[in-house]
Amino acid sequence: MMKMKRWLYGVVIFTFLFGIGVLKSGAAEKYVTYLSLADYTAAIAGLNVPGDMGTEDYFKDLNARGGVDGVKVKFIGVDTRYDVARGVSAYKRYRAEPKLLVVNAIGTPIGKAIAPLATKDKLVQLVPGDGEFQAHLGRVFIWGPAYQDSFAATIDWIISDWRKKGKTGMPKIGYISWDNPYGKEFLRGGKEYAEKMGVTLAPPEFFPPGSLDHTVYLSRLAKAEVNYIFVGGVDPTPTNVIRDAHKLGLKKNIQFFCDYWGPTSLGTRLHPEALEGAIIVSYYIRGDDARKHPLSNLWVKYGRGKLEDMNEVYTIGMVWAMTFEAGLRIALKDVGYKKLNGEAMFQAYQKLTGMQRAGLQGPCAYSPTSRRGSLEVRFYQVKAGKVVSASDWIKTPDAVSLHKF
Amino acid sequence: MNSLRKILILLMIGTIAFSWVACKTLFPPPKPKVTASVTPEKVELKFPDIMRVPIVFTGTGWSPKEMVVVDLVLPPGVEMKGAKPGEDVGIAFGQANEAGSFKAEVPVTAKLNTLFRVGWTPIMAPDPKTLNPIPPGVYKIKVSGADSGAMTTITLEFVAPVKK
Repeated sequence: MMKMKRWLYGVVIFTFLFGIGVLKSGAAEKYVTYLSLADYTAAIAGLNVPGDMGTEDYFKDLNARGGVDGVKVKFIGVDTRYDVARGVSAYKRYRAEPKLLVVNAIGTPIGKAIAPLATKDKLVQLVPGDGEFQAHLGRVFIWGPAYQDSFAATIDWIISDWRKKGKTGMPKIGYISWDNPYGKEFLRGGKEYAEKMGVTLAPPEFFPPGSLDHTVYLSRLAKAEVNYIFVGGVDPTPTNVIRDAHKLGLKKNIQFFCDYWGPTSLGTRLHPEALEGAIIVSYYIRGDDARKHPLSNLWVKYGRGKLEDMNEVYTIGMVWAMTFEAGLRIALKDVGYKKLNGEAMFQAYQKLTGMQRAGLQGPCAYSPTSRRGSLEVRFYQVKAGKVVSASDWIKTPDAVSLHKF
Repeated sequence: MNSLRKILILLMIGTIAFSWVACKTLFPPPKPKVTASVTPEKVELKFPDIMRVPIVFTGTGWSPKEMVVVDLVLPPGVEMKGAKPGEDVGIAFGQANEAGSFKAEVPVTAKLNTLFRVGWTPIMAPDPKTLNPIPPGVYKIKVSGADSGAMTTITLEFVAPVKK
């Protein structure tokens, strides 16, 4: 009998301790992880730093409000210095973070490099604007319309502008950008769209990121007698290209355009004369449209400085976070916290079609057949040193489908 | 009484079995035997000459088609922009072929950002005034597979520029 009692006590104590351990692990704070492979100190830091500030601040605010159904978001930002080797290494280091759901690869080359790994890990991956990921549907989602779609929308704008000016025939367009995968992406479908519309594209000019002088490339485009030039590169590169064009006197006869990463209001303050009249195609609101947006108050709330010094790219960061929040809400509803993983988030992201993000960007276009973050762009123009709205939201043509990837 | 004893024994066995299954991940399957080497084994930290010197890692025995990552292990006290103290820094990566062999070259960006710890100007050009090469010495290099988890370490020596 005595022996039996000892057995009983032993089992009760063992089961009690085991139960305490299990309960303790279950009682921990519920959170999910968002990984940003960014560049905070090198070539595209001007874009990445304010972008991730927006993401981080939005998550701070969300967590302060209790998260999504009690689940908080852990933001991990890694400085890859726009270096693919560091990006791949950092991804490998953080891929096992608990409940890692989304990895945002800020920078086209890093995005392309880690895509096979993130796909194997069944995560959601975000990349800037590579149409390739719309052409081959997988787990990689782009932030807005694909780069080539925005280029096609610009071609439409140019043709309309040409006709408004009463000119006959078709205009000739020049293209100049960085000599890397990002710089070339616009023409993978953009070139075909130009052909389709009957517009002549001069041979494109590519230059290494970090070039000090762009006059050689611009002079070649001028010699090709182009009427419009589309300038790529992350600001301040486009500002510097247009500044060089201004010095060459090219702005008198040629209208300049920039892509999503063209001059922000901060850049236009530095070179107002050179940038005057430049047009920017953008999938997110810029200038005072951005600064006057109620959500931009987070910039001040989290001590980033005065609102007039807010870089508009901050709003893109908030959009990444808002989209994550909406995806998380769906995923939690679908599978619950315990089963929540990259696959659940992937399914959820495909259900975000039409989701509004407070007008910071067009409605979300993610769906089972779309990896585009939205379908609309707006045109902005530099006037008297300010970035002002030049159009309403315009639906972009599908240039991705014109290219064979 | 006997049946109570049986229940208790079953409860005990169940709990132990559960613990064993939970801890199974502590004993993963054996990793493949991998090799790695670097050419050249000694690199002069001379700018801009280093840009023209290919630093190439090769290896065998990796899982077919897996991504192989090459990290520079920073000795204590060596600071690196973008890396936390004690963190390794990626300097190259490559994909293994069907036979499990890989080749990875250190790109220019890694030479600038990591070996020369360069700063960038506001116009996105590397700023030559900020060139700050890592201290010369023999550095440990970690080579690891993204799928297999296999890892091997080799060394790479960085030497100060030879004065002529």
